[in-house]
Amino acid sequence: MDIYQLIRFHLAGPLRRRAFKSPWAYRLLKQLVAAQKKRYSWQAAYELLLNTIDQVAAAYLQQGPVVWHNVFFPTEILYGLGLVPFAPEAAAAVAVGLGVAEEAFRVAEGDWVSGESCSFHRLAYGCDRAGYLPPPGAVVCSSHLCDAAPQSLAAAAGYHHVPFYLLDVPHRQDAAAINYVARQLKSITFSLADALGVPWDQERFQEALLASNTAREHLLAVNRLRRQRPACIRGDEAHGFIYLMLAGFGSEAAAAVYRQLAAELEQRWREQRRAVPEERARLLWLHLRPYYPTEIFNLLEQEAGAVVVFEEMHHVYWEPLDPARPFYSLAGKVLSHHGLGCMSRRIEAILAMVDAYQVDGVIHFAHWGCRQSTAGLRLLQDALRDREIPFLNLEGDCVDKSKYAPGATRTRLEGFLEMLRAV
Amino acid sequence: MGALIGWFCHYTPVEIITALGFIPYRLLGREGNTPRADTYLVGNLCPYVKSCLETAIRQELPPLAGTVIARSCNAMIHLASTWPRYGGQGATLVLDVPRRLDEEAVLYYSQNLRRLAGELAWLGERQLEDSLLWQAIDAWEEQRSYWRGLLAARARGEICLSGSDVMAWLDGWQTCATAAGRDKGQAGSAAIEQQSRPDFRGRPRLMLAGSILPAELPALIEEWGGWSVFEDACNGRRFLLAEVARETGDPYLHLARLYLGGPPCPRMVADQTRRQQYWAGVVDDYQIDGVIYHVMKFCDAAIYDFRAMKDFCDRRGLPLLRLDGDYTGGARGQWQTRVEAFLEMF
Repeated sequence: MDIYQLIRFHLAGPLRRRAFKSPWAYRLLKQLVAAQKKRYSWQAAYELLLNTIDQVAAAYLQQGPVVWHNVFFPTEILYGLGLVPFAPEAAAAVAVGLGVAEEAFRVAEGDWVSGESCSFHRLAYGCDRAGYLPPPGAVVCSSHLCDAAPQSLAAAAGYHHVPFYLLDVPHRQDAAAINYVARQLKSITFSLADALGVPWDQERFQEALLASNTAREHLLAVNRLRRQRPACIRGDEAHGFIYLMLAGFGSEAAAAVYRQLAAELEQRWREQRRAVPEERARLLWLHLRPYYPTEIFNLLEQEAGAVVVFEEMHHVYWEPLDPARPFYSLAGKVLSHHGLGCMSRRIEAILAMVDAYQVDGVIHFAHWGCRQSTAGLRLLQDALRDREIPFLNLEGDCVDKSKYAPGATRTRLEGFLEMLRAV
Repeated sequence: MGALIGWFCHYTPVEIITALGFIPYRLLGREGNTPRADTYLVGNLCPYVKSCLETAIRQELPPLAGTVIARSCNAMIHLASTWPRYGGQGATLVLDVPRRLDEEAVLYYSQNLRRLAGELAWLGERQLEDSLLWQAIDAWEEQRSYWRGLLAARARGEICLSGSDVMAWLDGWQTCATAAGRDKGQAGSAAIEQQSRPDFRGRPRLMLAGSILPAELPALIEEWGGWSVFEDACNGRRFLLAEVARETGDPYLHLARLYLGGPPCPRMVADQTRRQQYWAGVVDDYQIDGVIYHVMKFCDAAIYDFRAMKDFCDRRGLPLLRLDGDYTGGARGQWQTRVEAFLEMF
């Protein structure tokens, strides 16, 4: 029984909304997870789950001021202020597992948030209006990479009558842009502290930046280990850790989980425990994956031995932060994102990943409604073709399972695998 | 005659283009489907952006010395990546536009404008003196002021202008291939203003809103019995900006304030209160009876802006109709049924 089945079983029906606000529910959940500890193939995944439950509990039980953020906002600021970060986009992925997506989509569409927009945001919107999300004390959002996030989060701030802070991120990476972003980050930090009545603690703030650096170092170690042949972790398993990239940096927990993961990978490498019995091809996965059961990874990794050896979302694109210049270095981090600015930047980063991880092919999961990731794919396709690297653009939706067509997906994946074999 | 510089988004400072001896030429796309652009940009991306790329691929544009692409939204960002390789002629210059209005944003935008001026000056092989830029600022303000005056007179009921005429004149004015043509267009519209226009008085006075409006929409609404008296769109009233105090000193700071402080676009997400105040002013000044919101397909800003408009209309007790469109001019039948039903409410 997976974790979502477990939760659905114990928190079914009308009790669900109330259960989110009950400390007993979280205690019970942690006990249930702990009872199954040995069934987790990666202890890092087990630790991540326990930490995530704690974080979710902190938000729902309002153990501190809850701040909603989008997944590209530098969360070091929120951890540094001692706030409780909550990412509605990540919550949307969890909502799929909890079986509330259908209801939430209905609510959003009934409220005129049309099906043409990103389903992560539609789902988060519906979950919020249906009363599934913990109310925020403030909302922060960065403008880069996604047009839907600022709109959707600004609407949420308006709905809850709480302050909304936008981090406006330009596309250049020069000194003027860094100054512009750094000043905004500073202003947002002190405005949040003021609005939420949180005392400024420089030491705590610097600790968050140091924790971020530690997490970055451990993630780099994980990524180095993943470059080796044969792969020791399947993409299906590694995808579960992406949550930390989106909401965990600045927390001690992220550093601990990556440390554990690096140690386990190291050990498996020494023991030559392979991800799959026979590694026939190595793949790079771009964007996210579906958060509902599909046969995609089973078909690729278990059946065909084509291992996803790296995910674009795990790419460490930024330099270490400087705790002595927190806002300036966080601005540098934000502006370093390879998806920001012209497409050639993302292409360059992807080609570097292709080389570093010695991949034989690239799969892009084209999440419906994500203009950022999908719009310029033709340029990427051309660049990969120039390098004779097989590429598959797999269209689908990360959270709306009604858009999943198993037959068509299998056909496309099988075609791609044949192409890989032919190369 | 100067060379043409293409531009898209209304946050593009045409004054800089003019001051350097170029002629700003707005790219408004074309009617019809975009099969060739669809091969370079995905299906669920802004149809206006794809329509512009289609005109470039089909070589339907006049010769352009360059194009300024304001990276104002995700679709424009991708157009900026795609344009130089698959579509555009001449140089492609990109401009970052802040999504907020405060002194930090104004300062940053002024720096970007100065950089753009440098890049355009290099393209035109000439230097841009501040005095020339001020002249261009004054010249554009004079023209915009004329248009604003015309629309204000319409609001006061002193003249009767159809929305379709206003949109057509504005489109013509923005895409005049010569400066003389633009002046002529303005003079022509002034002459038309004197002519006898169809009298729409007594019809429901409507505000049309959206990111960018298809050219045919106001005419169709008027054909079906409505009267478009205000067009809140990138190619409508927003392009006319708002009067600001003439500064002395840095012309780039003035321009940054002028553009960021104009009627806010749905993309200005940190500025939503101002957008609501702007709507409230329009409804009062133009005695609006109802609102038709055109949601451009796949425009994230418009999708959520419509939600805000709905809340606004609910509070004000204004009837609101949502029309979805893809900028191809192909939704006429569906629109007609919906608009006619909407107009029956009045």
